Amino acid sequence: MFSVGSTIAAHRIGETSEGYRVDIDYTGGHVTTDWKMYKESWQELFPAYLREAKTDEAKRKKLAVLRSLDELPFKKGDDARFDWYGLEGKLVSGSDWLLIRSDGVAELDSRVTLQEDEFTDSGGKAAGGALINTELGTVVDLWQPKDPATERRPPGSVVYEAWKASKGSPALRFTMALRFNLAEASQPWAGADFKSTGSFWKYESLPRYDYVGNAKATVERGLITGVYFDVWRVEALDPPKEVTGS
Amino acid sequence: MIAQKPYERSRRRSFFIDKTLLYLFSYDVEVDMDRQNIGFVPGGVLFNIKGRDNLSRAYHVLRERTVPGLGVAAITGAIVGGGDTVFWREDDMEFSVVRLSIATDDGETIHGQYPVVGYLGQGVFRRLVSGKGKVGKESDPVDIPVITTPRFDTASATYSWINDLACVGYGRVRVVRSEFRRISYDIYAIT
Repeated sequence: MFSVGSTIAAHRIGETSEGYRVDIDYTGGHVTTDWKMYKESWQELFPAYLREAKTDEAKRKKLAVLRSLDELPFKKGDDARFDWYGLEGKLVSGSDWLLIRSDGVAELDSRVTLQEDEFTDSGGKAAGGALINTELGTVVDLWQPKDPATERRPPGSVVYEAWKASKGSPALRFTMALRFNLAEASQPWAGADFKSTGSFWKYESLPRYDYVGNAKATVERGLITGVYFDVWRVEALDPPKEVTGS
Repeated sequence: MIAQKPYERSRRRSFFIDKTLLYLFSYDVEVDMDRQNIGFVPGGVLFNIKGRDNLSRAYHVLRERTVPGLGVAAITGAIVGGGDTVFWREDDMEFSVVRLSIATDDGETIHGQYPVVGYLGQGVFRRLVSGKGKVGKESDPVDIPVITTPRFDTASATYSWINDLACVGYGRVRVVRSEFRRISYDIYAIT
């Protein structure tokens, strides 16, 4: 769907009864859509869509659009109605209290605000600027060896002590679950503060699905200094198979 | 309806379990006027506010150095990094989720997080969101009562007593010209 990168200011709080606390502030970053990656991920779904499009008119129409992906001039402000118009903007703010558990696993539960770039629409009016609330949660195994096939995992307490002593991995890879919340159409009586931005409809699918993120974080002296993640929508194409008892 | 048997009735209590409220500390958060209006979401509107770090304080109302009843160090310090996601519901209720940190005057950090429930008042949702008929004046602000159930967490040995407490907070949100200006709480331990 899109990618997010942010610098992070982290500082140690210390050891609590639940583990080791580290405060995290997302100090600002960017949000961008890689169209090449987006198109490739949709094209992987073609076989499933071909099957379903035989009976589903809506999917058939979508397929017609997908087939001409290469010809479509994907850029912000296009009027063509399509599932996803991309998101270009910035990470405005965010924070978290990272907990490093005594078993060497970190818990993240961040609240981050993204904002779409402002731009001028085809009618010459200022548009954009939609704010998107993001909940981001995951657990991260802090033992991240260069070669998991040959290196054995030490006890969690050893990993925990290493991170406490700032001797953890210089980089972390992890996945995360994301949920988004943003405005729908505002009521006609709403005041200026709560009027929807002209572009809110472009992101109306965001609160309707689950998302996963594929993340990497840079670490210096045991503290996260930056994070970058790609956001993917989770979509079940095939209904679950019915389980019958033997 | 099935009639209750006499022995089933007698098993139920006819008295309340003992409880007391023990005052711990208070705080006032001065709200940053630059709020993030997310906008209309199903059931109401959503926005984010944050506190002004250099103006928000935690303190003991009676200026005690220890907490009477517990004999532990009282909490005084600055409120930093407060963040609040507020949901005004169409039926004039307010719900929010708050995270804040207290930087105590002796250099320790205490984290707090809590849900908040409050009743805005009849018809106030529409007035706040429409911008017509502003709520509260500079000379006559409106205080909205709110209730919270915070949990605190610290790595400090001095304040570790707060890690084990279930707390309740009674607060007021001061509204001037439909803007949150100040959020104040008295925090009690439920014992």
